Amino acid sequence: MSKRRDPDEDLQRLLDDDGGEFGAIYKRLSHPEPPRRVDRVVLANAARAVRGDRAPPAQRWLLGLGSAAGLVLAAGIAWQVGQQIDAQDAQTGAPRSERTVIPVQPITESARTQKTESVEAAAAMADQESPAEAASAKQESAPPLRRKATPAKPAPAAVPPPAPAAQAPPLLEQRAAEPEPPPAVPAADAAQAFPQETDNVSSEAASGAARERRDHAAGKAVGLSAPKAAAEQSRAPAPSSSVKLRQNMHLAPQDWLAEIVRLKNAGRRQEAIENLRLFRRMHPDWQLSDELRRLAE
Amino acid sequence: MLAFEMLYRRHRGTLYRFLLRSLRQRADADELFQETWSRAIAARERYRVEARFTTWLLQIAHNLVIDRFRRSRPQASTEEAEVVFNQLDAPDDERPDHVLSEFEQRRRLQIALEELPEEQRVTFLLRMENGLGLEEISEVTGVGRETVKSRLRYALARVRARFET
Repeated sequence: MSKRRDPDEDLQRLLDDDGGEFGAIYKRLSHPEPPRRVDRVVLANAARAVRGDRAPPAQRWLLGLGSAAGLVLAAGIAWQVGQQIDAQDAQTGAPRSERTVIPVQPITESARTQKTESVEAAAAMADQESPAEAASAKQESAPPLRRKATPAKPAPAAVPPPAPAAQAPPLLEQRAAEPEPPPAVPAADAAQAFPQETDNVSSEAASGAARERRDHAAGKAVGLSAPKAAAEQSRAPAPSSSVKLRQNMHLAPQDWLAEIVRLKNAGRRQEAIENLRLFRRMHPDWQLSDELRRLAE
Repeated sequence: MLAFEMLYRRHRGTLYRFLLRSLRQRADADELFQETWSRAIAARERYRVEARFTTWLLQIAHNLVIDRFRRSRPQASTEEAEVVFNQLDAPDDERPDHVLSEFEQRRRLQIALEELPEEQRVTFLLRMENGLGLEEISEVTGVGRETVKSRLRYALARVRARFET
């Protein structure tokens, strides 16, 4: 026997607390759960969302503010540095373009001494051959940068003597304070420096003037390093007075030869030799006595 | 974060089973399970304290399920269910819990659930799995109370028909 069921009764049983007959069967069904990986994904998403919430929007605003402050600070520093550089330029009076090129010439004391010695040797050799060549050799040996920096001008007639080594300030200070060494003067400049003597032997005079300036430079070296300069002086022949030499040039040949003999007899042999060399160059055809010929040799 | 974890552990099982039995595919259930929680997290600021969390969560899940249904296949016609409902005519002594073994009962219920039209299935599951009343089911599904009752009636008739064949 069968009877038709009442749907409302079935529904009411379903809505009861136990869910009716099908509710009981449903509770016995399996209870599948989400996989662990799904759990991890969901929880990670939630954690990310929570962290995102914790970051306050003010932090982004602070980041922008910090960046702007850094830019302002950098610009301020750059402006300040620029102002200082301009002030330095105004004090020195040097335009910026000149300041950007810094000539560097590494010159050590030993190199400088060697240079001086080589110049001396070249000039001494050239003195015997051609005064003009000697002058040009000296000019070439001068440092190019210094030659540019200090234009060629007449050498001072009277050079102040170098300070004694004992009173000399420390080496670095003295170097900074000392003026540039006089450049090698060409023969034409030497002629301007000694116009009264250019009528006869201008080249000889130039050679003498150059030697005189060389001697002055040697004196500077004494000021710089007294023991070293003293050693150089002991090695080199005693310098003769070029003024005296020039005066002798104006003597008559016989008188000049007599003066040479007098110098030799007076024990001033080096001075006598220099006079004799110059005499033979000016009067190559003059017959010398045996005594003077031996002296010349 | 701890509060969320507690909430998650409390609702994860029922939500997952609702999705799995509604969609009948584990992959779909996994996907919509994640999506449901993602939307819940994203929309947490819109959550009203006076609303029951279960209802709110199931509302999200139900919307996702309906969207999936609409994309996947057309709904079963109501007329078909009516035919099944009218054929119900079973004696009291042939009640399923008396006649079939426990395993068979579970199997048939499982099959019956799968064969239910989607709207009826979802409504039936909201009652069976989540224990929602008519009002809550109405709130979750967005339909009227009488519609909920009607769907439940049809669902019951179909399930019973599966047990009596």
